[in-house]
Amino acid sequence: MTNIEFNTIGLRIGQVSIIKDISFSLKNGEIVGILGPSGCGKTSFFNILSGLIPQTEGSILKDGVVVADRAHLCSYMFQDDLLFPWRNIYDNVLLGTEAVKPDALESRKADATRLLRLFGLKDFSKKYPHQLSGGMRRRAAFVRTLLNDDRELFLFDEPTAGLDHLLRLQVEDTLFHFLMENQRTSLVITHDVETAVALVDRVFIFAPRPAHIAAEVQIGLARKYGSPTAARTSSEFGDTFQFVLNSYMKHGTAETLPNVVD
Amino acid sequence: MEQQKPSLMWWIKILPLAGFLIFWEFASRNIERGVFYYGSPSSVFNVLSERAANGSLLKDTSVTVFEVVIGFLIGNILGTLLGLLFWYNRYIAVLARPYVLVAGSIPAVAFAPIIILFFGIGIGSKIALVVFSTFVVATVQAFEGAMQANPNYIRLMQSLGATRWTIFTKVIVPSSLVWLFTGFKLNIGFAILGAFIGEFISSQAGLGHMIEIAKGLFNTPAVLAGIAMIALVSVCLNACITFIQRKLIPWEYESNQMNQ
Repeated sequence: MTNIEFNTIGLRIGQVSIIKDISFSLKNGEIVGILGPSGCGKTSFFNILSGLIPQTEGSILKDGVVVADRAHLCSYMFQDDLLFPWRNIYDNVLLGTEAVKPDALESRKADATRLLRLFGLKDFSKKYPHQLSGGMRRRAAFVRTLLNDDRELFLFDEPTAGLDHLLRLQVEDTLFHFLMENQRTSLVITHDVETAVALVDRVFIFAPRPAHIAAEVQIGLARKYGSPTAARTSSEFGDTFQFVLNSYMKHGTAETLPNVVD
Repeated sequence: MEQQKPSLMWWIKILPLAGFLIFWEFASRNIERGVFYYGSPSSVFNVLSERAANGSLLKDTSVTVFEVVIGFLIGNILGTLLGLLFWYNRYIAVLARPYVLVAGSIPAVAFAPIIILFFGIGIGSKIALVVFSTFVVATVQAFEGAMQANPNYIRLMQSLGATRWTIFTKVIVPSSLVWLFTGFKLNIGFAILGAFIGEFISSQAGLGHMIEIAKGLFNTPAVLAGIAMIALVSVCLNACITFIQRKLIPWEYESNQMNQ
């Protein structure tokens, strides 16, 4: 059982504080949401976790030990699908393995086929990204992210943004079942309250300028009812949604409105 | 897209050329000494068929093609490697870039007298001139192409923990291919120009030589025949590059097709 802990993470660029004092810990297999308005620093937080930018304060601990090699801690799904146009879908999803773990290529190939089937892309593995719809490309990005199964932590940045409603439900269910079956810890950025309430075990509401944790709400509806879709149709969903939305509006939206121009 | 369209377009495309040739033939026959000054399609054709029969056309063309192709390959391969190396090592880029840009601002053919001095009047000096003419464009295109790689692709690779070499091979090289091929196509013209100038200054064979001799004899049809052959060489090389481009970067070609 690994336990990942973020200890007073902060980011300061010059005189400007972007992220301030973010501390929380993740239990093994937990799905945690980060809900915050656009531009509040959620993605910067992920960039720190994945090692793309160094934090200016704080540390990341795994089982109490500071993590030096961030890149190998996380598998990061960016907002854009970032599929390489010169690779077909199959080669795209195997990119991470090919780039950093070529020894595992043979064993991952079977996983790739299985995951492509799970996300409904079995018949498209030899197609190129430009031949696929946006929703299919997004699902391919999911497969690419999930395939890095040696990583402790999955980071999903707006994973279902831009998908049509039915597809979103379907993808959330698929993702949820995958995470449950494989006991994977994940952080999910979203600015969609509904997704947050349906999918995650608990959610942190980020307030902007600088990004900090304004509130934490326990949810866990998907785990209780078996899937995000089942959670959505449960009697508890409405009240939880209302509660999270109120908290979000109080901490997130109101503060940003006057500065919406920048 | 219907099947009919391309062939119709093809006919429309050659219509101006056909009209021009007919006008040219007609006009030069009806002007005093017209063929002497302006040549004519039939006189150019006569020169071509005559020289094709005695083998001199094939010899001149193949000499020029050989110079162009060998020089083109050397210039573009060296230039591309250097340009990509600039991405790989910024210190080298900072050091070498001004030199490359200054070298690029000098017409390569200005070096022709010196190159001929070094490499003699044989085929070596023509190849060297072609290398000089194409090298800088290839370098600049490769470096620009590498720099234009989608920064988010690089970030994705970094988030996976990839090394700089892996990023280079998996992102930089494939994404700069489009730029490289644009450079190769530009360089067809520069390569032919380099070979032509070399031949024009001093040579024993080649299309530039053929034109130079014809010029001395006021043989306008032969000059024009040489030009026609140069155009043909250029078109063929362009078709070769386009063919390789479609094989090597099908995604670019296909997604362009879809956008049309």
